[in-house]
Amino acid sequence: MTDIGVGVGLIAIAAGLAMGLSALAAAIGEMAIGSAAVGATAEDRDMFGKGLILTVLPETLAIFGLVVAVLLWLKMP
Amino acid sequence: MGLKAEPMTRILIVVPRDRVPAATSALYDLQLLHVHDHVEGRDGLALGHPLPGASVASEMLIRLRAMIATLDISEVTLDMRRPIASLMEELEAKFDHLEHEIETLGDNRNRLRAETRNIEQQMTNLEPYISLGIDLDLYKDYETLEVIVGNLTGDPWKVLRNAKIPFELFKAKDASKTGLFALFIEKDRTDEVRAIIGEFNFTPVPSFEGKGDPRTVRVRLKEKLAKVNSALEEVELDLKTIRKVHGESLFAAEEHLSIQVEKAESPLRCGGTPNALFVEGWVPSKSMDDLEGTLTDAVGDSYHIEVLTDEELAGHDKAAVAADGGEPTSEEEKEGEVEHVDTVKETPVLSTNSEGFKAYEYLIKLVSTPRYDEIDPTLFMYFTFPLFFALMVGDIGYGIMFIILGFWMLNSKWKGVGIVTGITRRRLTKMIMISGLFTIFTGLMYGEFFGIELFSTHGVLWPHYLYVPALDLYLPINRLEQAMFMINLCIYIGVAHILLGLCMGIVNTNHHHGLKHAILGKFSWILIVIGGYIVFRILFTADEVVLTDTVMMTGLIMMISGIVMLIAGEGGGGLLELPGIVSNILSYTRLFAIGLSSLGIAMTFNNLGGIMVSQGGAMIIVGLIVAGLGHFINILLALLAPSLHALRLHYVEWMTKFYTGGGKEYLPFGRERIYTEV
Repeated sequence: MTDIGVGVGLIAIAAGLAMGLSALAAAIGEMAIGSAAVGATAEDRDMFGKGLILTVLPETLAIFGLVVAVLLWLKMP
Repeated sequence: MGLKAEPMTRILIVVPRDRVPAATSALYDLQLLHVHDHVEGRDGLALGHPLPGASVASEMLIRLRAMIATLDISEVTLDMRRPIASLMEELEAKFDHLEHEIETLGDNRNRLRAETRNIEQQMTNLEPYISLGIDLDLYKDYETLEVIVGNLTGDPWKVLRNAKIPFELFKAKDASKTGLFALFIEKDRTDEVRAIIGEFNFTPVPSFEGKGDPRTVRVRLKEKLAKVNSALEEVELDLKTIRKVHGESLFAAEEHLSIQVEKAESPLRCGGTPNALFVEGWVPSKSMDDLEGTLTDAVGDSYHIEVLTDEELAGHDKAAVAADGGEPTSEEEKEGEVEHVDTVKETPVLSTNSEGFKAYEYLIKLVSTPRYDEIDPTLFMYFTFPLFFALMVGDIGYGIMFIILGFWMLNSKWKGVGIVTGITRRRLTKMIMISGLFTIFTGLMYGEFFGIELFSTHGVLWPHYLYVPALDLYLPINRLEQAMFMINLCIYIGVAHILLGLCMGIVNTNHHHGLKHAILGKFSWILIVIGGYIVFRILFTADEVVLTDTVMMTGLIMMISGIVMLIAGEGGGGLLELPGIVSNILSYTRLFAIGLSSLGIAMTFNNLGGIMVSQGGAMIIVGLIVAGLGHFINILLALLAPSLHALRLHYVEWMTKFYTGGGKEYLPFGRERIYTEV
């Protein structure tokens, strides 16, 4: 295995953390919204569209995480 | 076109009592008037009286609907529309007889269905006793013995023996799997035994009333079930015959009777005096002549029509208040003003979008119907939605697949699910096809075909690229290698889209609250976004930040004056929204991020398939199947995630900048006859 150096390794870990933790946060947010949306849809089928949209709202967090991860990844030599 | 709702005129029609039936019938068939429902007591008017015959018609309608429900008719296809005169004559002749027949058959069907369920339940309950194989009489009527039947896991029998409890155990043939048993014990030790077997997940089996060998009982039950089922089939067949013979005419009559009832009850939606009916509502301004012509044809000149202007309405409400409570106090005057503002809110909205735009209109209405006096954003969405979608998916192959999928959906017999049926399904299908077209273009821009690079440096077809020095851009854009360019592009798009939203916000706010609010509340944000963008751009990219630089100064001045205007307009609270606009703009980076994940999945399956294909032999086929399946899943995902995120960008980031919504849909009084004709 080639030695990639501690600095590059740390960048990789940071990128992984940025992606993973933000995805976790998005998931926690979607958990509550998703269950409420399913409940609303059960009562009124027309709520399906709105519920689906509301459910993807916290996904922004994961996207920010991905962008940060990509920016870090671009820093890797 | 499209940006503004169809202009509406608010009118009041007064008809003398003896002309009410003719007038309401004509208005109903015209289908132009959106009735403003009267509230009892408004303007000192009571509710109108339903036309004679309303209760007879509605009683008949209820009976007819019960028949249709029993026959289970949800739609029929008629070769030709039925003339109502002969239809109703025919129906009246056979109504009572037919109703009796259908009702009897329906009752029979329900009884037989209940019986079937009952027998099936009994057979399920009998199952465990068949596995045990003991005669059913032997389970009960003991003086000193207790019988426990049930399932458990493990082996409690040792424990029973150790406790010196005498028992006799019968296990089912398949007891090793089900743990089914019948246990005979002394009655006075029942509690003790139950406590012990309770430790072994004991679940009791419901007792079964019956005698003799359980297998014989099952045979008898089966015979009985067959008999009941054949009786049920007979009843169903009879109902089917009736449905075949009379279904169409019943369904058509239902339509006609519903219309009769709606017409007869329509005065209840209007104001009335003993001698006249006051119908208030809206008509598309261009159809005023139509309406007047129809009324003249129906009732001659014995009607009065008046166009209500906003000013008149305000005065008219104040007068009503005055008539109601004597002297108008200042509070009541205010109420009158509120009513005046509400006239805009209550004006029904008929969008002027042509059919091609309807799918996007549907997406806007998922949030809320636009108000009568605000910009309908459908037209803009027609371009930005497919653009955003395509920027995310961006693959020539997938674009082609979307178009093929669209053609298939347009021509297939599949009717759609949930709310995506009928006309909505057709409109959404067209939307997918337009998005597919955009996707092919962005796919060319990225040089991707099913996740494979066709062009660019590693391209399999054309391993070259074009360099655009002014933008530091390599064409086609390799999304993985030019991530920074893509992120920048997304932010440009975000800024542009949000600025568009803010400009629309200026127009709307100007209309609702005046120019001052528009400038302080919306134009300030435009200054902040542009100024902030310039400042941040320099802060992040320049090697050395010089505050006195002209560009930097311009940006700073714009940003600060924007913030000052914002505070002047909305107070310090407006500052709290500043981080929000940054996150709004950064949110557009999803155009890149979602695309990356879609590309990632495509490439993974290509690699997986590629490895298998390279092994040769039968693995070539397996590899192709794996890659094909992967792309199939990815296409389904691509329909879901990018469209949701494109929608979200519109709903959350864009529409919050200008959209109020809460408009009322234009629903003209009356309906189209589908199955009958006059």
